Amino acid sequence: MTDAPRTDDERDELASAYLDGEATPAERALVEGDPDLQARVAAMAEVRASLQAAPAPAPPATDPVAAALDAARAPGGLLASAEPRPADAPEEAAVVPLAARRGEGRRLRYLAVAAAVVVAALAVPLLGRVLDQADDQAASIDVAGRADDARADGAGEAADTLAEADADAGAALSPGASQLAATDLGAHPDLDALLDAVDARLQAQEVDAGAASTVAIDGATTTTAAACAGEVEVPAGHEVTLTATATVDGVGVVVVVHRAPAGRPTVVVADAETCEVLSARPR
Amino acid sequence: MAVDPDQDLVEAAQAGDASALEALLRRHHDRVHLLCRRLTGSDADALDATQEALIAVVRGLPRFDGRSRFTTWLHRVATNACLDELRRRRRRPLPGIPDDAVDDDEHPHRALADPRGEEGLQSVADRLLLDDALAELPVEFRAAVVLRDVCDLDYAEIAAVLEVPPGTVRSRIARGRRLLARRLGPDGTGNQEAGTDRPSTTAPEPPTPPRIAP
Repeated sequence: MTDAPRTDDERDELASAYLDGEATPAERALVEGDPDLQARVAAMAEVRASLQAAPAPAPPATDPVAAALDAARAPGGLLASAEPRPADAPEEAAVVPLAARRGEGRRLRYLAVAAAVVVAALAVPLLGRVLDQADDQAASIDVAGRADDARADGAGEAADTLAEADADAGAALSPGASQLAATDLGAHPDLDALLDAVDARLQAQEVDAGAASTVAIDGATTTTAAACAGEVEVPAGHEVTLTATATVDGVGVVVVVHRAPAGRPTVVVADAETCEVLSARPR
Repeated sequence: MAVDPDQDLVEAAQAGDASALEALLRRHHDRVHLLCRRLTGSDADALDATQEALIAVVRGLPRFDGRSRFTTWLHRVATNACLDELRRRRRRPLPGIPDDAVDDDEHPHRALADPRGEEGLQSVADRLLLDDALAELPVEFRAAVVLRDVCDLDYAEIAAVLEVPPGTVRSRIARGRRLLARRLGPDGTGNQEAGTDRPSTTAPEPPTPPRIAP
């Protein structure tokens, strides 16, 4: 025998469970014989009807499924070994994928670091010219951080070699280094904090007309931003509005922000070593 | 347990079948987006959470063992993504105007210039009222009510998604509905009747609960 509920909470729970078909036969009998409980059922049914009648949200402007599929196709992803994307796939789907190198071993990490140093040394003059034409936006190269990381990993001679390359690259970078450093977004405890910093940076760009100009970074200059930033696939027609480096909980990351003309920016954050996409979301 | 209608697609996707994965995601992305829209109360946050959820599904699918239905796991992942997004939002400045009321890139002044006229404006007003009412619910109640009344999950499924006992689900849904009934009452102010558990409209939102274990 089920006792009649006494408190408001108990009576609402019973009415709610009755409405959902989750009441026991004894509970149902109680509700059906109690006008107050039936009134509570009716009130809750109105709430449920309101929720169910609310219009469906407008379809999102960007296709989240396409972004998820791109993440699946990234190296190390679920579809990494599957067939490549069909040639007729829509361009806007190519938002996320980076050439992740996770799992290729530490040796390749050092090769990537060395390549970044060399590419940076070769491409800085070009980047410098681009930066001269723009006001503030630039790419940065966390070469020192990479070398430090290599040292921390006990890479021995390899790290020493990188340190030397670091010093050489630093000299070569000197003309544009201050501008490059301007887009180092600094150290953050977590990804959320970094995204907050990116948001603040983007808002500052919008406020400061002088800094609002964008740098249309092509493949070459994007590659100079960091070892893997050049592999961020930017959809056709989008422009890159910000590239930067930062660290999140001690891990080096690359930030690439791109947007369609008059569209919302998409912020892509990738692990600077593995190029694995950590986050790709419209703002 | 009944056969999971997604089982074939899940297994094919786990084996690397791209078309199966896409079919699986497209079958469910609308419901993920709807869940996220109702839980976050914002178009922009819902899109972020939806995208994060689908990427999490793709990354977690190889480890999905089929002990629960795919949709149960999917709702858990999506709910976690929404909780994360709500946590992020608490760290951002609050916008002054609801997303729908400002011009967006492709649909300038979409809400305010609704061609349905007064009917459209009423619809927008109703939606904003519903968003406000949901936003005032403690997030534990909001998740339970949305999973039940919007996503149509039964109590056992909701308990699995939220990882709480079914009795807790029953209590949260009831209390959430009661709060919504007061908020959506005739005067729309929450003053329809006094209540002991109605949160103050001026009180800060309680901390977002920890995410659910995947």
